[in-house]
Amino acid sequence: MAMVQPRSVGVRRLWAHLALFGFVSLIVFPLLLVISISFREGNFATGSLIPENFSLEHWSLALGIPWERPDGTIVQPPFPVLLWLWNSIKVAVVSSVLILMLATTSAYAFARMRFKGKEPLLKGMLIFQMFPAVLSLVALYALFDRLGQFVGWLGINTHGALIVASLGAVALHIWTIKGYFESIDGSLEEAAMVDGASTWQAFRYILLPLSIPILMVVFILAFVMSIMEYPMASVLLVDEHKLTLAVGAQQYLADHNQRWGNFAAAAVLSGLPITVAFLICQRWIIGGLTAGGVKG
Amino acid sequence: MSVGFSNYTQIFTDPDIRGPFMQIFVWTFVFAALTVVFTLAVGFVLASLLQWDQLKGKAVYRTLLILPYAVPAIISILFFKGMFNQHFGEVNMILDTLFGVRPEWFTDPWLARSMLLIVNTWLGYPYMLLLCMGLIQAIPQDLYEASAVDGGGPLTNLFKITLPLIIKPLTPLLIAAFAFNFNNFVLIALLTGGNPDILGASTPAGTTDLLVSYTYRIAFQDAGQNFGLAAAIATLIFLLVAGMSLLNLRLSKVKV
Repeated sequence: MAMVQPRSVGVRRLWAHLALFGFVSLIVFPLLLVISISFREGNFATGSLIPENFSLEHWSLALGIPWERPDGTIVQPPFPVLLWLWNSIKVAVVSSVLILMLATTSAYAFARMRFKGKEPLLKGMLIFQMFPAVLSLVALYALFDRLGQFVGWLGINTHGALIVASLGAVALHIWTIKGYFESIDGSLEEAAMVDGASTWQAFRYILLPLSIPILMVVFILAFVMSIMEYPMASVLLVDEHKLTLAVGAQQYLADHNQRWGNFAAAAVLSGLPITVAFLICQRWIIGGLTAGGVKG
Repeated sequence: MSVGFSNYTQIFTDPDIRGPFMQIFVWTFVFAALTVVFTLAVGFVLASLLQWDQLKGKAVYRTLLILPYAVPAIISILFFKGMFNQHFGEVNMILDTLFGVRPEWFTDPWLARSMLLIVNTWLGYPYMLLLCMGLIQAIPQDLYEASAVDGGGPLTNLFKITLPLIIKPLTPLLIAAFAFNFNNFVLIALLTGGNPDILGASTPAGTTDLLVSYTYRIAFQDAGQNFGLAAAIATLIFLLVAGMSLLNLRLSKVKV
């Protein structure tokens, strides 16, 4: 909404479009390739971008429908891909909602309140999650194995364990939200407090509505991290029907018979939840919410 | 059974383990630092561009640009492995038709390293893009209006207004990203497996190995499993990363 417009704005707009278009095609090329492989007959990783022998076999198998080849043989779907997708979405939604709730409230405390030990706590959270995750898997397994003996839904091979384990990522999100809170002028809440609002009301009715863009970003990030999570899920989940898609999809390439076509179809499916979540969330990532909030 | 510090002393006294340690450490550091620089540069410029209210079709660009983040990294890394294949990969096919070259992405150490950085930038820039997009929203519009009144161009806006205002909340996250890539085991394990090997090393050590994947190979792939040694090296890596991060926090004067 800048009122002053330089003359060269049209040329600049054109350049921006050209640059973005070039970059986008570079970025999207590998993804187009994956889509192309999933529609190709046979299970080869290479070939032309536009499938020569178009086939829906891989998609039908990925969606759990048995596929009849032209020669009459019927191929059964090898893995429950849709179930894996559902597992992934379930774990991702629950853990990201929990992460968002925990991170927002803690970030408020860290950004606006004064208390003892704030600095070591914040820095500690940032530092301690730097332990190489792959090398702490043994400890993680032992921990949840023991927990499972007391609390059933937190044992090995439960989604509860995976959700609780993924809450560890909350430290990073607290830093993100805290940084955003601190860039919002505190006098907005002070004005509300002067008018008799409680701390909770100032947080809930003043700060939260202003922070929707960053909350959406954090939700997407937490969602993505959960869908992508591999090392922890591969250790904590055992049964085939409990696996998440990121772990399950590996099984296509596990043996010598590498099924690239089926793998590609599963890969495209695995991209769906994040794309949908982003499409839903992105309309809230808008600026100018604080515009005109503080005068003088 | 009590082993005391023997696992730790082994790290420093066993020449098999100590051998290629320095070379791998330097590469790990460079890899993590360059990844952060590249992903931030791409993500930040794109985020600022997508912020421009004169630009039409922002929602479409935004969605397309976020797509590399939509597919789990573990899956796209495997596809990249196929794409960079020297004989059948699409990358070499295109390079061959355009320039007539077929680089050996997996056997030349420097090419393998560049490939890792290219793939990791592709995988990582959407994270920075999302973060920058979110943080930029808190910048008041009147700053840009004031800049326009004073005749400031887009570059001035980018480096004098946007960057200084988001770098403060961004710094801790950059440090975390550095630490994450310092320990980016999945990428190395799936793309190169640490290959090509370092010549003349007595332990399984590769020119693209990071400290974590090197440790993993020592602990789990070399002659039986050695959890104790792996735990000791993991602790050392943690101390190393934590130390660097603390130093970074101090130097960048992050206020809490």
